[in-house]
Amino acid sequence: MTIVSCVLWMNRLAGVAALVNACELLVLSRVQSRSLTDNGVWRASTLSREWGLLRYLLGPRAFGTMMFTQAICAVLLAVSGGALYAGVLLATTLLSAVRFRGTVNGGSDAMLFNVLGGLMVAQMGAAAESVREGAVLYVAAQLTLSYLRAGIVKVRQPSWWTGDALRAFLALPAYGVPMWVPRESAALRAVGIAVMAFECLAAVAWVNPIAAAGFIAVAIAFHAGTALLFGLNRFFLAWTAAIPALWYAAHQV
Amino acid sequence: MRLLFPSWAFFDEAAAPPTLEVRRASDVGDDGPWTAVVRAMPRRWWQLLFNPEGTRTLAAQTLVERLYLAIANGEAESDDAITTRALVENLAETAAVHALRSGADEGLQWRIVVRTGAAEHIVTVGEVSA
Repeated sequence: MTIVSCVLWMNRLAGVAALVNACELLVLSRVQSRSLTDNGVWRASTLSREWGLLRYLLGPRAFGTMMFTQAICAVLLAVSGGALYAGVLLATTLLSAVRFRGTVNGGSDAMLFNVLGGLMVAQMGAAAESVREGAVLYVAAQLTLSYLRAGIVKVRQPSWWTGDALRAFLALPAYGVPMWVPRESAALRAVGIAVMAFECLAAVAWVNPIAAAGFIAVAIAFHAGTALLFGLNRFFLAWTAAIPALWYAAHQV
Repeated sequence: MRLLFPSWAFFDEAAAPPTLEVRRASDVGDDGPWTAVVRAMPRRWWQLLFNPEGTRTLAAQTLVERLYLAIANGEAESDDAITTRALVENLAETAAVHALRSGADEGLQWRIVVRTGAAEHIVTVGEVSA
């Protein structure tokens, strides 16, 4: 895989992720009484004193305009690419995190932020080839680190070995996991150990393209599964946008 | 900085989750039952890509967990926790409209509770609001 095709695919996938993020917030801001703005939970009257001069960008009307801008730039990034669109999306993603104090976005915005930052640097007109490669490899490193760190903290928790951790997450009403999902101890234990093994083996993807292909296939299935079962669609989109960087890294090492 | 250098420590501890509950509260002591209000709706396959209501539900639970952690760490009086508490009050207020269909003459009360088996630990209780 060349750096050009890697960036092309990252542009497309990051564009979709940023478009979905913007559209979700636009939809939620228009649902009366459950909205994220106006009379909703994250209403400006509660938060505006924290914003300082940013209140001119983060108030209900301005924020709606900003999300509309994000949606347009996301489409343009996916279609034509470019450092400008990646940079605008980087800024709107950051402002969105400030607007909701990280609660609406959390880890998925952190990954998308890293992907967009890498894309912006990789597509700067004056950037040397080594800088472009470095930007993409940085995203690959962050992606690998995200699995490794998550795997290591789980390995240290006895509840992940017994299946109790998964049982607790399955029971959380906010996730709304369907009742047909097995909750037997043996099944939860097996899935818990499989998740830890998958996450701790992330570095293997750097060894060669065959190992990377295997890891990427499992990763996409893993994120699709968590999106369907736990409602983590933003994680699926953000992590998928970083995967071409890992595929590129596997061809360079 | 958390966006640039995130911890990536997802789903690490499997402690019993804090739950936000609301109830009708009246002056004559005829209070209603506590009702959990942060609940996910059933999902369709296409919500693999687009799930605004699910995103909102997860964000609401994150808010509740942040307030719970601030109280558990003895930081309930910090500026950050005070703002988080105000957001949880907003959440209780908006959620109660749907969960309780509260009448105009009734008050509303919220609390955060952690249940471990049959044991119930009340973390904090909000004041009765009109």
